[in-house]
Amino acid sequence: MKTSDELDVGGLVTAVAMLVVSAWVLWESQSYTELAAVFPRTVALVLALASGILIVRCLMRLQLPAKVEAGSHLRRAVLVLALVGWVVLIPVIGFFIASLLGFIVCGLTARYEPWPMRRWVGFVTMALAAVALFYGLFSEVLKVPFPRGWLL
Amino acid sequence: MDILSYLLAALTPVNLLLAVAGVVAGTIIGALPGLTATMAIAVLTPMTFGLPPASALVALGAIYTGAIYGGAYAAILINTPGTPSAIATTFDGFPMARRGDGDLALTLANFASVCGGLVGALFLFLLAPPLAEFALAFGPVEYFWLAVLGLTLISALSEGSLLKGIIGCCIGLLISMSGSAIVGGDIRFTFGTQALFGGVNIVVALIGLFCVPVLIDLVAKPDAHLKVTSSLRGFRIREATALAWKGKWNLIRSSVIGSVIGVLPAAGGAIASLIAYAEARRASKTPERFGHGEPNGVLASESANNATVGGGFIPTLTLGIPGTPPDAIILGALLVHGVRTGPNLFSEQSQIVYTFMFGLLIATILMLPIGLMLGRYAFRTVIAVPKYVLAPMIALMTILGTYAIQNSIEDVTIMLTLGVGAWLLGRAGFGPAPIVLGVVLGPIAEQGFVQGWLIGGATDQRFETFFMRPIAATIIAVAAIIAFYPVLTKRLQTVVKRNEDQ
Repeated sequence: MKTSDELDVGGLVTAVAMLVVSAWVLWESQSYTELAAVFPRTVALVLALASGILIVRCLMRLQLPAKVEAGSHLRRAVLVLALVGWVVLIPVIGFFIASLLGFIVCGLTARYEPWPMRRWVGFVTMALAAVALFYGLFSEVLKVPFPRGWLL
Repeated sequence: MDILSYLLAALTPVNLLLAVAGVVAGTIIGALPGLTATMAIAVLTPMTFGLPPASALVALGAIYTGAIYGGAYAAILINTPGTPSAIATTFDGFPMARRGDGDLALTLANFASVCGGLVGALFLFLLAPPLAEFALAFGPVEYFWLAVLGLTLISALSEGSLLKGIIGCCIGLLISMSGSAIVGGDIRFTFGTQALFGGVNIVVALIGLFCVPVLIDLVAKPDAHLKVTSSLRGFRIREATALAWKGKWNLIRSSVIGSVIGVLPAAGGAIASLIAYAEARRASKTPERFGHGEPNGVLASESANNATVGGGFIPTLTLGIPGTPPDAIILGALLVHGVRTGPNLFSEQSQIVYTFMFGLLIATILMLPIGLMLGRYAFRTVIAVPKYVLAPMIALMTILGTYAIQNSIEDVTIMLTLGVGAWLLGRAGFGPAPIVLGVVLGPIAEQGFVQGWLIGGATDQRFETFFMRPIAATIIAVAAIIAFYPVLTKRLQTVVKRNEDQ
């Protein structure tokens, strides 16, 4: 059997977390009727078994760590925060304005070179046009009722 | 002679125009993440009420077939299945696009969709009554085993570690169990929030699990989203034709699988494409290439999901039982137009039904040029658009699309949560595909299992119910072959090699 020099930390942590999840599912399923409990229990047992084996394999260095994509974690974090903020703001300031702000922040997160003023103007105009187009398509053509906040 | 008159009725300029418009509208809606074939048909159905019945049905069939095909665009170009039917298309379509073969993948998807659509329509033409009887023979146990057959795909989708694939699939199964239990009605795993009472919508889960991790990694590096070759190579028809010809048995087999599974109510394009993908991988001489940009993976998935369109109409038209949600809406439209579905439909209202069938065939054929042109435009757009536009556009589409499914902001929260979770799991080597497999197949497996268990218990024949029914036994055999075939062939090869060495 091939062993790895590196410990698969991600695999180990996830396996431990899944062991906890399976224990929680087994605990929760006690309060369900027999018919509703049979499937979650079966899946939880399989999950616990697979997680247990994975923990052993990781500790014995038999599990190779996953290859991960390189790149800036700061930008990733900013994007996630932007998406969360976007969703949180929708009921407060309305779908349109929240989407416009979210669009601009996401765009800026993916920007890698400095922009002259003309590019800034072009980007904001494009953001406004894109959000307006899709908002109009969904609300007017597809009749999707969007939540309105204190702005729009 | 009658058949010729039906063909001519379908070929009127108005019907042709409606077929073109339907395919274009369906493809565009299907390509947008979150907007499914069901939504495309639901939104556009009222527009057909003013048309003659046959023309309206031609338009609806064209929208449906276009929407199922359109799902491949987002699957290939941004790793997000535009519709659940395109889940399996992401497995090889996106890796192809990342290595610079997105244009080829789109052309292959087009060829496969047309082939699948034609085979499905031929099944509808020629085999409707016997296949409808076959659909009625499918009970809960058969559905359970069908889901198990789909779950055997884990071995194909687990990148590097089968163990991690199994854990991912269990996570997906647990996600699918949140909300009201399918049998019994218990409220499970909702964390006390009403938002989860209805469970996690499959499309919401798909967008979160597939699209958000791509989005998170998209902004992390300045490199282009997809590899761009020095010059655009057009449709790459010659290459695609050669690959499709090489994979002709895979195309035919996947189209037949799609047509037959399409006949089964509630099975749908997602299961059809997953099973066709599993079978294509099993039959391939290079199964290790699947999941890493193997053209046969795209061919299998796309031919199977479009074949379900024709197959799904079989129980809809002959029994009045819609096979999929879009079929249910079309059934409603049929009733509005005064068409009574049932065994006598083909004799009493043959004019309408055969015109519709020819319309479906024509729409499928029209999908070839229309799809190629739209695909090329979509590909050029995605590779030409800079990241600071592409990233927010994908974010906007995911949020808008997710919200529009049930007009629910909670769905968007669930989508984001699943997406960030999927990204974290991805860093630990747990890919999104096995999780999605669990989410899609979980409800079918649970319902089939529990109902089968009840039926078996009531007749005191649980073993016979689960293992001795002919169709169930056949599916078990196929599942066993798919699951153990790679191990058995490997063992056999080792034994043969050892004997040769001696």
